[in-house]
Amino acid sequence: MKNIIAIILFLAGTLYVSAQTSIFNKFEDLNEVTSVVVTQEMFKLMKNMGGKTPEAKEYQDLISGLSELKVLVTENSKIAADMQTSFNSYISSSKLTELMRIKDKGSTVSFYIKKSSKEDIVYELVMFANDGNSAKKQTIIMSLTGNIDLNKVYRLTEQMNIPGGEHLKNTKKQ
Amino acid sequence: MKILKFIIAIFLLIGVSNCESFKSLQEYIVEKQQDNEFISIDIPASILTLKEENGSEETLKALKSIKKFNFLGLQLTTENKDIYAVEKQQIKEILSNKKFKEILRVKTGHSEVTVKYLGEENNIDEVVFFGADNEKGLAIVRVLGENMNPSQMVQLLNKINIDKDSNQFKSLHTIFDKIK
Repeated sequence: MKNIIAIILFLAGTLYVSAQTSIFNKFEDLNEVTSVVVTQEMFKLMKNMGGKTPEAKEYQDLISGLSELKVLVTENSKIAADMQTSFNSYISSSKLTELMRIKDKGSTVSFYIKKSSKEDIVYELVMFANDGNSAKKQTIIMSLTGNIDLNKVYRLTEQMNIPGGEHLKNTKKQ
Repeated sequence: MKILKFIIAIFLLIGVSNCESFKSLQEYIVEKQQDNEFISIDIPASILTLKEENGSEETLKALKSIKKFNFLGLQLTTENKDIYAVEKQQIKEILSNKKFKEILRVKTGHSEVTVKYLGEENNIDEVVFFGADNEKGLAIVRVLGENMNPSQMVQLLNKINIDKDSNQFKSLHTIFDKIK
């Protein structure tokens, strides 16, 4: 009987994990949302590329800990409002802490992290950005999961040209 | 304990029936090659040649690990919208098989691109690109090989020429011109 309970608990556990990430998944299928999802497999493949310089080594160290990168962009104001609501509830439900908030002219960018027991390592880095500057008025959500070293993460955002990534450079100095 | 055995049996049954109901990508492509709606081209790896005559051993090995390319496309016209929807769904189902490891997926309003591979991270057997655009049509590109190594592939990219005079390349080129 114990075995059965264990199996059921295990299955319930996997369901729970997938339910947690699904908060952003619903936006992926919307027609007016542009999405990019980079999976762990991609990071595994990227890990093997690049040379043996110290910089490449740092890059490889960072990449080997990553699980998934997801970027969602919309120009539709209704979806943007919905994203904001989902994002806010996600922050409180999974106990994320604010890393920084930037306000520049019409744009706001905020970064949230899910802390681990180590100081520089976080389990999740989420960015929410409202770009009011350009004519398009984009709203962007970016979520990066895995074991992320905050001191190194800006290298990745640099390389992949992630919107808002330039702000992360400053985390190194803090 | 009987209950446990029963549960295991059910799981096994689900597992087995899953395998059987999946049509393989190979079967799908072969089937559609007979279909007049589709455009298909098989391109041998011999279309790729090295820029320098004497490549390093590693480059040659990487080049040899690529076997061939498959291209299968369906161009959207006013008459085949229904076929497009059905085929897109079918391909998605085939590619949703867990043995395909997803690398990347990009979606914009009316189009999407998915990249998946078969094999291990250092020994890739097959890379599949699937793209669908609700205004233009859909296409699958398969790169078939044996133990392809991603880092070697990147190095190889800078060192190869594509034989642009070959018939296969010309026919592919005409297709892309049409789609544009």
